[in-house]
Amino acid sequence: MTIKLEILKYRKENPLAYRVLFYVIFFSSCVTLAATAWQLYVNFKKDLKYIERRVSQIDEGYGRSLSLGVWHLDIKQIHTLLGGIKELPDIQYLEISDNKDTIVAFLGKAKNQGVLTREYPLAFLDSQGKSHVLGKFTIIASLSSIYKRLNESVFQILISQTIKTFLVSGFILLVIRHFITRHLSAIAQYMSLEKLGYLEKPIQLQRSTFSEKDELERVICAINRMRQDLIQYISERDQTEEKLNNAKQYIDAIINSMPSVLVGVCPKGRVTQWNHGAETLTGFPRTKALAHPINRMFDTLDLPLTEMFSAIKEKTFLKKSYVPVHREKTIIFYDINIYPLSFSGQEGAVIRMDDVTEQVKLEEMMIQNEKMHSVGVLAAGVAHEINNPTTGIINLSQIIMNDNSIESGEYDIAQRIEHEGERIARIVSSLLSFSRNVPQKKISVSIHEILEETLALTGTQLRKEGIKLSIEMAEDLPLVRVDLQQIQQVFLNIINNSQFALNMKFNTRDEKKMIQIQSSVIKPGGGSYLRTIFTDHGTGIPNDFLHKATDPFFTTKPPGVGTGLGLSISSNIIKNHQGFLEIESRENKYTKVIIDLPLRRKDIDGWALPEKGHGLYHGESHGI
Amino acid sequence: MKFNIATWIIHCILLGFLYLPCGDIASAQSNKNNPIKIVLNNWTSQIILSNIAGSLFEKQGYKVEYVLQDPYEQWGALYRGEVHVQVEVWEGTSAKLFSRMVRAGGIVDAGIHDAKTREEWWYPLYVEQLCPGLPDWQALKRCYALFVTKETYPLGQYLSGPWEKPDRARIRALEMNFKVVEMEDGEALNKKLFEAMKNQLPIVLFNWSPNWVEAKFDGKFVEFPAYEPDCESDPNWGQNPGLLYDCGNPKTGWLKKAAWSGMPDKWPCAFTTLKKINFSNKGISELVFMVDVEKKTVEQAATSWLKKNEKRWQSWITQGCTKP
Repeated sequence: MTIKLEILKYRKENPLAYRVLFYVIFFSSCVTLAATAWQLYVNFKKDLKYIERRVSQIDEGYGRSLSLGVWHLDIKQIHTLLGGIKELPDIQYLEISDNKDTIVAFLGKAKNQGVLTREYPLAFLDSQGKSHVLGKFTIIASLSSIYKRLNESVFQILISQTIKTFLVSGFILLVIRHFITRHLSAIAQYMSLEKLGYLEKPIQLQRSTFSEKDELERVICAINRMRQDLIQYISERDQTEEKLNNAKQYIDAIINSMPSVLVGVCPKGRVTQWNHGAETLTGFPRTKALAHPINRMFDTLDLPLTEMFSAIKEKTFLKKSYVPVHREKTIIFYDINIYPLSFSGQEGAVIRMDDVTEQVKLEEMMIQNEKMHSVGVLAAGVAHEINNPTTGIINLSQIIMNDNSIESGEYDIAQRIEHEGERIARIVSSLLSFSRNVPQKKISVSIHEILEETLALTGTQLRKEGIKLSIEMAEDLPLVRVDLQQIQQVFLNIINNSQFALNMKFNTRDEKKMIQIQSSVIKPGGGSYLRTIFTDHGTGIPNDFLHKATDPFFTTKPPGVGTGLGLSISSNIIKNHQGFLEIESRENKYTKVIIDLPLRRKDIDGWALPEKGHGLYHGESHGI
Repeated sequence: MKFNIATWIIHCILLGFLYLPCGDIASAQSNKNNPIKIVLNNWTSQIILSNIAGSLFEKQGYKVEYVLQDPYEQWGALYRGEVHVQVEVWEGTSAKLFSRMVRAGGIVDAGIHDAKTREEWWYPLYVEQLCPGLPDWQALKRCYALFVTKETYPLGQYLSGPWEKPDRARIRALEMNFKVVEMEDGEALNKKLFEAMKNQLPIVLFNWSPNWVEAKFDGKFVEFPAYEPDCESDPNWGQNPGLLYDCGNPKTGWLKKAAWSGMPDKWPCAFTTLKKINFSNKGISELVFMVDVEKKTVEQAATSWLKKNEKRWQSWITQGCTKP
């Protein structure tokens, strides 16, 4: 067991020497076996020849006497002769037969295997020289003595040859180890160091020096030359790598710093380049996107993928403008450009997607402004024409009321006419307000004051309808410079909308029948804003109508209840204050109106933002 | 010609009867064209008797071929049918092999001659005066010095022929100081005998009976311990308990004829004649004398014998076996 372990250990530590030893022993054993077999064969042939010669000598020596005995039928003499022959070594069986193959005499027991059989003619030569053929003399000699000698010698030869084989093998192994394998081990150890630090010193073998360079010396020289080349190569490679890394980082930085989505794809549509913009758009990090099919990366986005893949496959340039992509609650517009790519024998395509949402919004805003301007001109004209008859109707209805008692039917009708006339007058007034660019009377005022005055107008009605108010705003909020009347009108419009939505959803009192008002200071980018958020959990605005919420004359209220001008006027007022108005809503869930009013630097100086989680700071906002 | 079934059947039967003897005749004719090979050895009596037998076979229409064979090697050839007839089988020389071959079935015993055989050490009668106690072997053992020659010194000389005899074994077993000197053939042996007889020199040599020598010279066989088969197979037997052949050869050995076992079927007439051929010691000695002493040819001796003994050999030929 120990020997086996030692052999396994030796085999593991010295595989080359073990293989050499194995082949030497194997070849030597084969040669030994062949040599033994050849030696045995030669010995066998030699002994066989010896027996054959002796058998032949028997015929030569006894043939005449036996012939004489047969000639004279002297069986006694024949038996005497055969007895003498039988005494000779290896002779097993003797037989004299006549010409008719009748056995005349025999001695011994005949065997068929392991014997040498020879037949000699028996002829009597008479005194006149005439030969008389009498029969044949058969001699069977046993080869057992040969086999016995071979058996005795085979072990002797094998043992001696085996000892010789092992001695020679051991010697060869020692020689190989001394001259070759230990140096190979040293070279392997030198080369197998994990770090390249070993290259600092050239390899040197512990061996005698010879006048002529032998193979090992040449290998060592070659390794040392290679070492020098390698050191130089590594140095150059490190420099190149550093340059490449810098260049790559620089390019990556360029690509990633671009707001555009930049994606490289191979002809099979797998991602080869993935910048930060792509990560932001898809949510997939670069590491997960690379080498994956582009369709899998974009499948959550409503992109025109078929058209894009077709362009990639056909290596054609594609440009798609203002492609809307729905991301959660917003729509982002992209210009998509696909450029065929070919470099260094490789092909593919580059996809560039630019966010043009702001551009779209500006264009929409321009269109809206045009539209508003047209509506304003129209409204001013209509209001002017309607205002005078409306005044006449109201005046005449008051005359009728004055001429009739309060209980009379005429009075009642006149009162109704007056009421409807006043309603027309309000609509006309609103139209005029919408169309007229009334000069602002901006003053510095606190948000508390604006809200208090607004709630003074509507608070009673809110309480009457069971709508609670939740106001969260710090006491020391900076002042805003606004037209108080206009901002009050904005707040009033928003509270009226919330009031309507809550009443539509909750017929009776409810814990959720509440309007939350929050104010806080935000600093997105370089400027500072006072953000006020009105939140209700009423009926909300359907998603399809959300983007039309600030359009003039657009309303979700029943006919006769709303004019569709409240949010449109509010939006214009806030815009005229260089502020932003943003609406978030989910149908039957909530509506949130965010108003950001700019703060002047002098109003904000010395004012510290409250810590996150304290006060009303909510981060950046997106205005309209 | 009218044809009916009865006529057809009769023809078939007649043809059937005719066919069988024709087959035998054809076979016999074929065998007669194959020569009967008669063994010729290197001693005179055997050669003459072989010629007489061959002549008798020829008279019966057989072809005969004489094949010179070593006496020791002839048995294997006879057994395998390479030769077919041996007219002299001496007990002292060939009893063992002959009996083995007969038992094995390759050779058949073709009858016995009246002649009795002996093969043994022999000396001229005058030697008894030089070595008293002869023909006893122990006297010869003592007198070995009489027979010492330049070639055999210090041992006595015993002259033998080219035949396989256990003489050296006998000398060793009976501890006799003799050395065997082999002559090329019987003629060379006779020459040595004539020289010794002429000068009355002591000589002991291989001799046999029947032979012309007994008809021309006086002499005796040495009397060794009497032959017993155990002498040749049991070392404990006899004078020397440690060695075989401490005995002499059989004194009244048979003289037989042998044939290849296929001969009775292949050449039945010749085999019958062979079985009837019979010579006595005297008859064989006379024939050998004509050749060895009177220097007639073998053919002359045989022709002479056939002329003088026509009645006798006619009786050896079965009636109906004569050449037409």
